[in-house]
Parts: sequence; structure tokens; C-alpha cells
Amino acid sequence: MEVISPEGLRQDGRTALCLRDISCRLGLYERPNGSAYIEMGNTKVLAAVYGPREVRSLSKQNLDECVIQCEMSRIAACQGERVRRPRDQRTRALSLQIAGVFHAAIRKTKYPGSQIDIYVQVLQADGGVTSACINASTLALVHAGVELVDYVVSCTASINKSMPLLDVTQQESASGCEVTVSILPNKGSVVSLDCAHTLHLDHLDEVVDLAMKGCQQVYKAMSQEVETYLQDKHAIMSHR
Amino acid sequence: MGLVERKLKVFYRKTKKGNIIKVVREHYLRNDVWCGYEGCRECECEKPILDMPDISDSTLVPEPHFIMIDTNVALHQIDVLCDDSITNVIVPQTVVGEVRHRSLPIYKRLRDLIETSSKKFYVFTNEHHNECYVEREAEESANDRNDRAIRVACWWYKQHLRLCNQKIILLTNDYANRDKVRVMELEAYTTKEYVSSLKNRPGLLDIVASGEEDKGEDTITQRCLYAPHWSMDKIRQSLKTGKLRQGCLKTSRNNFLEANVLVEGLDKSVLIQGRLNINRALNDDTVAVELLPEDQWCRPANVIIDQEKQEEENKDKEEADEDAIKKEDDLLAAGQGEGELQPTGRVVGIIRRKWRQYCGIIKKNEITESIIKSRGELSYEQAQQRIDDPNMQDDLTNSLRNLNMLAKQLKKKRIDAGALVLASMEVKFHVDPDTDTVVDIVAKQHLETMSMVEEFMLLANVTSAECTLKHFPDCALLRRHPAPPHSNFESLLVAAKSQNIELDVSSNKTLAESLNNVTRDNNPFFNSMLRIMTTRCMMQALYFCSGTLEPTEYADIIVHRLLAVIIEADRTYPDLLNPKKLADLSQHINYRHKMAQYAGRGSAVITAIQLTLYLDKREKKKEKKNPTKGAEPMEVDKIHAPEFEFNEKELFVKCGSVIIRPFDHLKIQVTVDTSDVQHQRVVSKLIEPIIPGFSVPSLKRESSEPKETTSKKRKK
Repeated sequence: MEVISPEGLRQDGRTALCLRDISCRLGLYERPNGSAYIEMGNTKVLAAVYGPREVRSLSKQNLDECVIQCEMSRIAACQGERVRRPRDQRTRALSLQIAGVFHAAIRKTKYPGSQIDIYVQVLQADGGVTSACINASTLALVHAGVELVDYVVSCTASINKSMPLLDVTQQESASGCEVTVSILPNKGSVVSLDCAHTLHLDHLDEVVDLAMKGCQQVYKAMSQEVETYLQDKHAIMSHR
Repeated sequence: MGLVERKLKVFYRKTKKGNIIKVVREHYLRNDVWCGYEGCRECECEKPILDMPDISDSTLVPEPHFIMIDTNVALHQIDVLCDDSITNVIVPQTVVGEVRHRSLPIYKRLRDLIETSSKKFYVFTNEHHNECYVEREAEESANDRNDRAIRVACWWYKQHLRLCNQKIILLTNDYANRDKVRVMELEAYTTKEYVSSLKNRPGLLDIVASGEEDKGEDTITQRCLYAPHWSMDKIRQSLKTGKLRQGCLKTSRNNFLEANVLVEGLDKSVLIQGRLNINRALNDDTVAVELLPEDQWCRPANVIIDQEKQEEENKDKEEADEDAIKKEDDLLAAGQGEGELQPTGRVVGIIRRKWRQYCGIIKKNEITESIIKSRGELSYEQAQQRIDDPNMQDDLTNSLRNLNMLAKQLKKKRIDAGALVLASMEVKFHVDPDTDTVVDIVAKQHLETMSMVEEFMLLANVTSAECTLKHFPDCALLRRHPAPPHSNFESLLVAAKSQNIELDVSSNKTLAESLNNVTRDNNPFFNSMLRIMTTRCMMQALYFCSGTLEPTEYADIIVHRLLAVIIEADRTYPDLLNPKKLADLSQHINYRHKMAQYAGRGSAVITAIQLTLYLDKREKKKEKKNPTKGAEPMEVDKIHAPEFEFNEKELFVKCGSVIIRPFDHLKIQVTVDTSDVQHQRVVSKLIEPIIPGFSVPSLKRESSEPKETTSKKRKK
């Protein structure tokens, strides 16, 4: 199965440096403080934020800053074959990773002694799952009104026969690798870098650069959605 | 520029485990897929590939035009596409994908064509073109959907190129597709039509692959004359349930269109009438028969329908198979007897064929195609017994005696011409059937019947060789024993001289005569041993092609083919008459032959080891004489030897007072050295004549019948 045809198009018709369609929404649920939904191609993720609120277990309380916890799960039907356990070692590792990412972005000192919980659920997985989780969490936090240093935006990239690819699907990453990069777009600093499968060191630079460029594009889409949301809200508010 | 729409491709797939999963994939449509024509103002193609020649070569399409191909043309007419005169071709992405899926070699060739800039093949990504995208409709097969996608792409091109006044035609093999395209007001032609219309390339029509009008696989089965046989599983099932019956088919003597099957459980045999119902079964085959309903039962015919006669009558008339069958049916119907209705059926499968031996009949050294009519099977011993027994006077035995007499005359003729009679003792191992171990080793007896068969084989070989050489003087495959160089004979001559024998090796005839005159009264084996040594001097038979000078290899098959060509039973193929090819073939066969011989000898040694081990086990310290069995020279344990002196000139070995010459009597002890498990060897130790410090004492008190040994010197 050739990932990219000699004519320069991939299996789904994108060029090598093209992002998949992104669509996102803020504020799906009433109960959580913040909620968001993001679709990156066929990868669909829901995120909900509870907090800042009182710490559950006092042993974890930190009186200087807030505690951030994340729990990620996948529904059984998220992939072609039914997933046995929604929470397993892999999801636990990813949860820790996501929580770690937001340590850099949330102004923790603003919420001392509190806890912020992020719940992420993967509805459909088709490559770039971690990125989608991080992006959804960002939007949910924005919706919740938690103070952030900057958006955290994440994107994936890969390389196939010396041709770098942006935003790979599961099919494409299976034959190569999948590098997930999270950045603070306005600052330009990298918050997390993760690689699945194998990548030759020589290609690392160009793949990471490409991912970072992709993140900027994702940021544009996300911030646009947030603005639209705010405008709608404002419109509703101002009418009252 | 870029993506305009997103579609979803949803389908189901079966995993290796057998689960069914739903696969959902994105499918983006673009607005930046270009047409590839350099003269097109609409498209912003960076590297247009297609250009337009000024004139058209085709009489069907007078204006210059582009060609779009469909999947079948790409798959089957790839050779036509490779031709230089075919350029400016548009290959839809659908076609490329399908070809890749169906045939990788052709896909590679297609890719090569696309990459060749002079061919101007352009891949049009119609699947991702927002105006050419086609979704599969309900009840539409994948193939039909692809065909439709290609038609839509062609239609798009027509609209697009109208703006720059260019033309496009579709090339397809499928008549149905071609007609559909014409309905869309597009020009379409089959490859054959198009290629025939090219003025400057008359030879291209030969490259067009035939079988264009394949309307699918249904017609192929329809055109089969006989009903296909059922699979063995189905037959077995049906036999169990009783739907089919099994029995032995016997064709009727008078009527080749009728047969009877004797089925268990039915007192009458089942009648099978008509060629179609007999369904390619032959006499004595075990067949599976399906009984027809009672209203279709027939009576056996009372006319004599002779197969050969029918074929003669119909020889010159060229008629379709269906008409021939109809004629036969009419014949049968006309000859319906007046007996009782017999259960009738038809053959649906053949459970086991009756295999017959076929051999040839030689008439006066004439080569013809023939069939063997086997009267029976006899081993050499059985045949010999029959010949020797004066009480047996039946036809078979008498003909055997005649053949024997003929064979003797043939042999005499050969010997007078100088044939050499050599000996190579072949050994036979007796294997105990219960334990599967080797229990004994005997020399193969040479019977008269063996000579008889040998003589006729030689006669056949010589006749074929003469015949092929006559008809194909420069590419007949022949076999000969080249004359050995004198050096081969040296060791033989020296050994013979040590026994005061002079052998004349100047020609095969003289050598034969010298060998015949050598006997030793006290040693009946002596003559055979000498012959064995002579055989060792000979060179391997080599095959060579008469047209070349080098000796080459030859296979019986090649001879048969040449002979078949001579009697016009078969056609030649170019390689058969190519001397160089035959030469290479011969060399290969020679090599294989040699290796096979080594393997054969090796296996004899291994079996000898096994035998010795067995005997050793059975009677631990039994002394075994080593008879002249033609085995490889056994290793003589010389390591502990006190000084041995070897005189090369006069050829003897001396140790102290004992002198051993070739052909002297020796008594030896044969054992197997199992110290190295992976390389067990047969070791022989000298018992007599007694050499102190070297020979070993006899392990058996009384020696059984003495048999000769010969001390074979290790070849230097």
C-alpha cells in the first residue's frame, strides 16, 4: 500500500503537507465547568474540565498552586475492532502525559490549594489521538475559563521515503512513525515531544519542524472557533 | 486551491481472525487536479505532459486526439501501449489502482511507460477530482462503478478540451462499455478497431491481444461442450445420500455412443446414451452416475455405430461441435431397439481412471506412433523360468523364445562389429520386511532375459539415432562413448601384466577379444574381475549434438520429440532445432547424470555399512569374507604396518617375506568403525597371508566356503 502516490497525493487525496479537516465545538455540556469536542479527520475526542475545585484527597493538596489531574479513556468502538479495556496501561501513560503538558500552560499559582480535573474520552481513533486529546483539553479549559499562559496546540507528523508528511492517519503511521509535538503557539516553545514506532535521527529535525508548522495551522482553526463561540455568546448576552 | 470537499468511504472488511470490522476512511476532493495538456489555458499545471501532434495517424479519427484507456486495455494490451506510435495517453487514476491490484508486473510496466517522458502518458487523478468523483450506487458492482468512473472522466475531458479545441477518444475492450460511452456522445473504439485504422503501423495489429470480446466468464462455461465433472467432495456426499451411484463403465461393443454401468444394488446395469452423457468417461473407469427420471429412460440401441467409421465420414466436413452431437443423437434415436426400458443415467464424475500401459510396436525398424497392448507383466526371473521350462508352450512363452532367439542374433552381429562386453557387478541388498534392516548382500545374477531386453533397447536407440541424424543432420541429439585415452588403461595394463596377461587396447574389438581369451582355471571370477577393472577405465557416455563439436547432453525426450517431428505426429518448436540450445541442455544433463551416479555409489556404500553393522550385531565376531561385490575399494589399514614396500613397476606389495600381487587370494575381516558416529567407515583387516604385526587372527575357527578377494590398490 503506497502511502503517497507518484502523483503526490496520499490515499485520502491530501498532499504531503496538508492537514486534515478540523472541526471543533465548545460548550457541549452543562455540568462540567468546561467542555469541548474536536474532530481532526476521523479522530474524534471529547474533553470535559472540572475545576478549579476543592481537592479530593488532602494528601495531594498543594497550597502554592493547583493540582492538575487528567483521565483519558477510549470507548470500546473507537477502533475497527472492539477495544477490551477503556482504561489500560497505555491510556494511563497518556493521561499522565496530558496532565504534564498542562502544567506548563495553566497559571497554577492562580489557583492554590485547588484541583483541576480534565476528563478526555476518545470516541474514534484514526491517528493523532494524543494531539486531539491535548487540543480538546485546551478548548475545554478555555471554555472553563481557566487562566492559561497560552493555548497548547498539538499536531503529528511523519516521514515516508524521505518525504515528510503532516497529520498522519493510523494507516499511514503504521508503515512509518508518528511524531507528536505540542507547542505554545504564541511563544513558539515546545511543551511535549513524543514519537511512536521508529524514526531515524537524521529525519528528526525536519519532522519536528513540519509538526510545529502544522501546530500553527491547528491553532488558527482552534482560535477561530473560540472567537466564533465568544461572538455568539456575546451576541446572546448583549441581547438580554 | 486544495481540498474542497470531504467524503467518507465506508466499507466492511474481514480480519484474519474472522471478525468483521467497519472501515471508515476520508476521501477528499480537490479542485487542483489538472488536465495535463500544455496548451490548456484553464489549468495551472506546472509540468504539463500532454501535447498534441499536428496530424492523426488513424483513419477512424481524422483529427489529432488524446487517448484515454480503460482497465482492460491496460491489463491485456500493454504491449500495444508500449509501441512507439502510441503517445499522448491519459491513464485515469482508477485504472492505475486497478492494475496495481490485479497484476504487479503489468503495473510496473505501466509505471515505466508513465515515467518515460517521450511516451507522454499522464495519470489523471479522477478519484480526487471534485467534478469526476463517482460514488457506488446500490446494486452496482465495484467493477461497474470503476467503469463508470472512467466514463465520467472521459466525459469531463471532452468538456474541458472543448475550450481548446482538442479531441479525446476512449479505448476499451469491452463492447458493452464502448456502446455506453457512445451513448454519452463520446468517441470510443476497441483496441482492435483503433489499431487497424492506423495507417503507418500495419504490424501493430499482430500485437493486439485476441479475445477482446470477452463478455465475462459466463460464456466460457456456456461454450463448454461437456458438463463439468463434479468435485470429489460433492460426489462423495451424493454417494452417501444415494443421489449418485458408483460403478464400472463398460462401453458397448457395437455402439460407441452407448455404455453400461454396473451398479451395486441394481440388478440391471444403468444405460448411458450419447456422448454428452458419457461425459469423457472411458471403458473400465469407475464413474459416478446420476439416474435420470423414469420418463427419460431409454432402450439400448440395436444399430452398430462404429467410431472409426463415423470419424472417417465426418473427417472432411467441418462442423460445429453442437451439430456433431445432434447428428449422433439422431443416430441413436433412430436405432432405438425394441427391448425393455432400461434405467438410464448420465456420468457426472470419474472416481478413478483405469490406467493402461502403453508401449510401442516396432515394425521392421520403422518409427511410428503406436500404442502398447500389454499382455502382462513378468519379472526377469519369471520370464527366464518360462523360457527354460519345456512344458510351457503357450503363445506368450513361445513369443518370448522367439524374441530371445532374435536377441541372440542381434548380439552376435554387434560383437562381430566389435562391441565390448563389460561387467559391472551390481549388488542387491535383501531387506527384512519386518525390521526394515539390510540383512544380506548378493550379486545380481545375469539372466538371458536381461540380455534380451538389453538387445532390443539398444536396437531402438540405434534406430532412433540413425533416423534423427538422417532427418536433422545438424541438430540431432546423439549419445556415444568416447574412446578413452591411453592413460586410462595404464593401471589396467600393468595389473594384467603382473599376471602375465597382455591386453590389446588398440580398438574395442581387439580389447574384447583379448578379454575373452583370459581365463584362470582355479579362479572362475578372474575374468569378471578383469572386466570390472576394464569398465573402470572407460569414459562416461556423453550426449552431444551432431551440429556442434562439443559433447553435450541429451534427453530421451528430445529424441522423442525429434522422432515425433519426423513422423509428423507433432510440431517443432524453435528451441528444438537450435544446436546451441541443445548443446547447453546436453551439458546440463551430463552433469546431473554424473552426480546421480556418485549418489548411487554413495548409497551403496552406506547400505554396505548398514549391512555390516547388522551382521556385526547379529553374530558379534563373525568373520565375513569380502566377495567381489563391486563396492568401492575398502580402506586397508596400513597405519600399524611394519615396513611395507610397494613396487610400482612390477606391481606388488612386499612386507618381509610376504609378497602380495594383484589378483592374489586374500582373507580379510570386514568391520565397521563406529568411533566417529558421523562418519562411519567400513574397515577391512588382513587375515591371510599372515604378516606379523599387521594381519589379525581369524575370529572364526572354521572358515566357510572361500570366496575370492582381490586387493585393489588405491588409485594414485
